[in-house]
Amino acid sequence: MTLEDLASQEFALDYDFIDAAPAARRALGGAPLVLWVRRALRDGEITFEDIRSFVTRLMLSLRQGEKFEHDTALCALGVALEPVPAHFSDEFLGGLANLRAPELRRASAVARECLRGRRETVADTTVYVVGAAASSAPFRFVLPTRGNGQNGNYYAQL
Amino acid sequence: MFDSPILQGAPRGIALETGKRTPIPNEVAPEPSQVNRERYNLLRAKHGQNWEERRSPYGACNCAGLVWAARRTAIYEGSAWDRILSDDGYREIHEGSARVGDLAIYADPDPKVGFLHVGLVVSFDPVLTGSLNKVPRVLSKLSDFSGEIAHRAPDIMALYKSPLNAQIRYWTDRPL
Repeated sequence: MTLEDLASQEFALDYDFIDAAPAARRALGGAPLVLWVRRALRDGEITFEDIRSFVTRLMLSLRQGEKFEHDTALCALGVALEPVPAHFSDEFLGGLANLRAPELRRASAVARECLRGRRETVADTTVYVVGAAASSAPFRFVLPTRGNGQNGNYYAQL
Repeated sequence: MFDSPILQGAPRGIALETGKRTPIPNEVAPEPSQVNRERYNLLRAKHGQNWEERRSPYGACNCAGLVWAARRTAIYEGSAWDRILSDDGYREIHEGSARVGDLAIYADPDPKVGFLHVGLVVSFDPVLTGSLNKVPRVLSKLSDFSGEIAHRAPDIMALYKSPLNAQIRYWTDRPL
């Protein structure tokens, strides 16, 4: 798999016709290509700069007054980045979510859904010291989740 | 990444209200690109053996705009669909009670997903040739850039595959 596959007709055909943003987010959350993007980022197979270059290339085909043909690729990247705790994820999702251009309407709406999901599950940057005073064990720093108080996917113990 | 001057544009809506005068948020959808048109044709080739095209791809409306806004604009927000159903006196009915002019609404029961699609029942087809059991035929627009098609209600379920859990429900505004 490669990032270019996100711009393929085959991939778009599977998801282009799911108009509603919450449904598109759910459907893309199970897409093997989206799961690959997350894995590839984690394993260093691709970088945020690769994604930035890829998106910049896609945006060259944007035409005023026409639905953006790579709307699904942007939606997929948004869903892939949703749980990734990195400044790039905030930049990508925030930038897309703030747009109101009709050409990218669905991608922007999906990005807003992803930001909502991200707020519920991704660790914030507050660092808590857990049990340090009562234990002889080394300091343990835990990045807790926000929202419902349950453990999220990402945490760190130092 | 998203700094093109084109992206500074804003959506254009029309004045749209429910029967109880609740304003309905809407956006006139842009026209499909050539690639969008090709994709729609590929979709028809893949899934649409039994679809009947009424109109080739165009922008302006989505499925909800076709049904509730005379094809002039798109209604995207699920909360707006809820409001229309409530304000305009729709009620859910069994498939067997559906009549021409009623609605087929595709939705995922998970409230975090909700509405997927809506179409207008236009006729009933025998399930099998000669069968007395009939299946609703629906006129709908699959997306805000697709054409309009008439299809048997279940014939588009392949578009909403797992992890979506699409179900078809029928609604009417006919009085009890």
